[in-house]
Amino acid sequence: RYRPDHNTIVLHGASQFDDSHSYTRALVRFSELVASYYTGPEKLEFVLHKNSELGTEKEYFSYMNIGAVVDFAITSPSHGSTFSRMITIMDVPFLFQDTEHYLAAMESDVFADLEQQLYDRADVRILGYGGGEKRHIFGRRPVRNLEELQGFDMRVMGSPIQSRMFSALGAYPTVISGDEVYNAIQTGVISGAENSATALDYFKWYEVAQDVSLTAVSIIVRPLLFSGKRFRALPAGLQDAILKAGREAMQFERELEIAIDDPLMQQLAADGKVRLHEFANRDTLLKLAAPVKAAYAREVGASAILDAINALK
Amino acid sequence: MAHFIDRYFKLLQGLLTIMLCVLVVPVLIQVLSRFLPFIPRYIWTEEIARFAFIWIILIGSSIAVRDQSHFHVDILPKFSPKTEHNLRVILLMLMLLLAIVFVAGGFQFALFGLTQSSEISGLPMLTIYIAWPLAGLSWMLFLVEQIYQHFNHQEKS
Amino acid sequence: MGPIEVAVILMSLFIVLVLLRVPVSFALGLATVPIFLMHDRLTVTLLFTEMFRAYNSFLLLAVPFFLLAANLMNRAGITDRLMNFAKAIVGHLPGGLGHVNITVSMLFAGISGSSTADSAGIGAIMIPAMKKEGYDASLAVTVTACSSVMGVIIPPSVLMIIWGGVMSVSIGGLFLAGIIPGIAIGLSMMATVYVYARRRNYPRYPLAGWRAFFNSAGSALLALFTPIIIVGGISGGFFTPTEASLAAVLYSLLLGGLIYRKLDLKALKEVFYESARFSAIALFAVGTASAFAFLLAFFKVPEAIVSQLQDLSLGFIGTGMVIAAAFLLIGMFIDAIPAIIILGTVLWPVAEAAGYHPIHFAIIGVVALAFGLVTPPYGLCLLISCSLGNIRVADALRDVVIMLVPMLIVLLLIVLLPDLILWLPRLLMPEFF
Ligand code: NA
Ligand code: NA
Repeated sequence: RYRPDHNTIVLHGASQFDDSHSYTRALVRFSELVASYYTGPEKLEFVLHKNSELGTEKEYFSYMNIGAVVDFAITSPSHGSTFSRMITIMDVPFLFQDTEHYLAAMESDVFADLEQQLYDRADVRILGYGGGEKRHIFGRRPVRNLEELQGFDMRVMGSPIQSRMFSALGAYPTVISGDEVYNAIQTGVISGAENSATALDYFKWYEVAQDVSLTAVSIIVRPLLFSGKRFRALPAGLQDAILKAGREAMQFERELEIAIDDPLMQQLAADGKVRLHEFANRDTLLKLAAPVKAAYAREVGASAILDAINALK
Repeated sequence: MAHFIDRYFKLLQGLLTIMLCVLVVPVLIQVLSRFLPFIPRYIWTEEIARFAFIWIILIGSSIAVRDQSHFHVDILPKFSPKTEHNLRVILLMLMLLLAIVFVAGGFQFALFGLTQSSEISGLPMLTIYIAWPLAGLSWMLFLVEQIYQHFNHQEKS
Repeated sequence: MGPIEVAVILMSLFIVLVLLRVPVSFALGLATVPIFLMHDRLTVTLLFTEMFRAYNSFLLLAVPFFLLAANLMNRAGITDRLMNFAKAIVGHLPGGLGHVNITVSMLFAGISGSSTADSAGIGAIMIPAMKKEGYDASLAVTVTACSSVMGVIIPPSVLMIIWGGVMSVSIGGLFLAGIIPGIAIGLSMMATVYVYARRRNYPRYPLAGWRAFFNSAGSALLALFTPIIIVGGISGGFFTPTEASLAAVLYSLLLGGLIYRKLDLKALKEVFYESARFSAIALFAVGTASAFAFLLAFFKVPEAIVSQLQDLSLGFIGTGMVIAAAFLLIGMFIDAIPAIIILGTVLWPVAEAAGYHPIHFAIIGVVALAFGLVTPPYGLCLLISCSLGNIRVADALRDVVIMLVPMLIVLLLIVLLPDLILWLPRLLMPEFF
């Protein structure tokens, strides 16, 4: 079979975004760190597929599962949900109370069971956790308090917990695929959705939805993943370098992401692209969310994880 | 044997018609649920529609192998009957080659579906992925039939 | 393997297979197999994951729905009503039936989102009719194929729905921007038919009176109402563009079943079967083309092309012409839908840097890709029309090339006149410009 050069190990990474995005920057940092930690005889070469060249994160996950094309990528945990429902706990809205709580969780090992399950079932290793961006509700009208959320027609991602949570809060969730969001909001099929400042900017949703309500419905968790099959095929020294570099690169990623999140939203507001609104009673949302979270965690076998996360606060 | 192939072909035709109806219903529910409060907002409608869609494409690809309606381009001039005969054999063999890839590679692919269930409705992914190797098998059946008919016809004439 | 090597291997394998009369969808799939097998970082499983990824899209559902709607309309006799109406308007011109063919396609384009349904439905009636009146078979086939490209340029349009979804561009804006280029392309074809008719003395119909005009208009009225339901339904916020295609299905069921009473259970069964079969054939090719496109992307072929382009720094008009040429070229070989996904996203930064509006860029791309529907080797509308007219693609080529010349001039004008393209969206959706 064709291989460019037997003294060279080529590792492929993939990102949906361009050079300036924090995921792409973290993957570059990861490559540099691996190269600096690895002292073996082979030469290392990194190929980074950026700008959705190889499709979306969903595909990267399946490539890593097969053990072809992509060796490492940062993806939404939800793409592992077809293998392990436990992993969807990371996507539960209101999982963390605030950024401090989120950081405490990322620096602990609360997800250890889940990492094992994902490795056993999807053959994908989690090297580290990034994220930290806050997802806010945005739309064609402001949602400044619980009352305004009642009956708010919003798009949610297609996973059961999303609809369940937002129904419990009184909104009308609709599942619409990501590539229909722009036009669905523009035409008024839905009033809004929830997402982060970078997504709002990247997908140009602000063109059709100007009112951002600072609800922080979730703080996102984005693992850096490595294909299990590919990992096992690498020399032991390189494996160690990858594990070490993965942790460090993702710490870099979450710090970077948190540092640019709020300023980016402020910038969008300053440019007149969005109008920002404070949300009056977020504590009530957290209270309403608690039983929904607990019931869902039981359902996917993640009660212990949820308890451990709650105990950090 | 010919009788069996005919019955199988009829079955595929029936399935194809039914699948398009299956495709219409969930999307209809999805639209109506936004306007009519008594229709619940199911979240599985989008997923079921996409999955029915995949089956339509792969069943349809098999039907088109038998009735030879996959589009091809006829740019070369007509050759002597003997060359034309050989060209047709080559063509059928090439198509059979892709059918074999679909069966062998497709089963490997379907195995990846064994450990997965779909995000929303929890359907085993095997029920979707298996459409590829099954399409490959159907193509093989119909192509072997055409190869047989081709040589049979050749002998008679 | 570098980008150039891979591109050469894939393309030459594909062309050899197509010359051997392997169906285009099979040729695209087969061409990828050796590379999937040979390269150490790839596996043949990817052929299937790429197909799955292509099909697992809610946006693509617009394809079978629009096809179903169009076939229901054909079966319900709506095409005949449109044809009578078209005859009353343009039948008296020299080459009357040719103009009728083009005008029906233009009217049908307003109710259908796909071009293949147009060439299949209208071709089945018009090609035999034109042949009977003494038109050359190759011209009847060419006029049918070329006029059907308006199906995806005049709204609604499956290609615009997919473009808007993939690239976050307003589909309503794209629809409005497609109207003027679509009509201009229709007029350019009518001019060509006029020249043919003068040279070859094709027949014309007597001028229809006002009475015939109003009668035929009245009989086609309900069908002509469809664009209002679709475009109005989308801009009124009743449904997403994909769901709008389903609304078209329901409306044609209502017209054909309850009002014109042409659709019984047997007819419905046949229409559902034919629509499903035809969508499957077209979409199967989208799947294998996506695998083909995946390999190009994995070896960074599009990136290599774009960096070459950026080095040239061509300016506004030069960039527009290169974009149009790139879409025309890729449209010769693969289906428009994967072409949007590979080339649209890759070329956008180049267009943006040259100062293009996303809608203007999209219209250049959609129109060029629509022309790909009649350019061999893979021109679906041409293939359909040829099989309806019982002629070989090679025999239609000369007329197709002649017909394409004025169409390409329209494409050039689209590049040169952004304000004309953006005029309607600016007028009707001012809040977004
Ligand atoms: Na149209
Ligand atoms: Na073409």
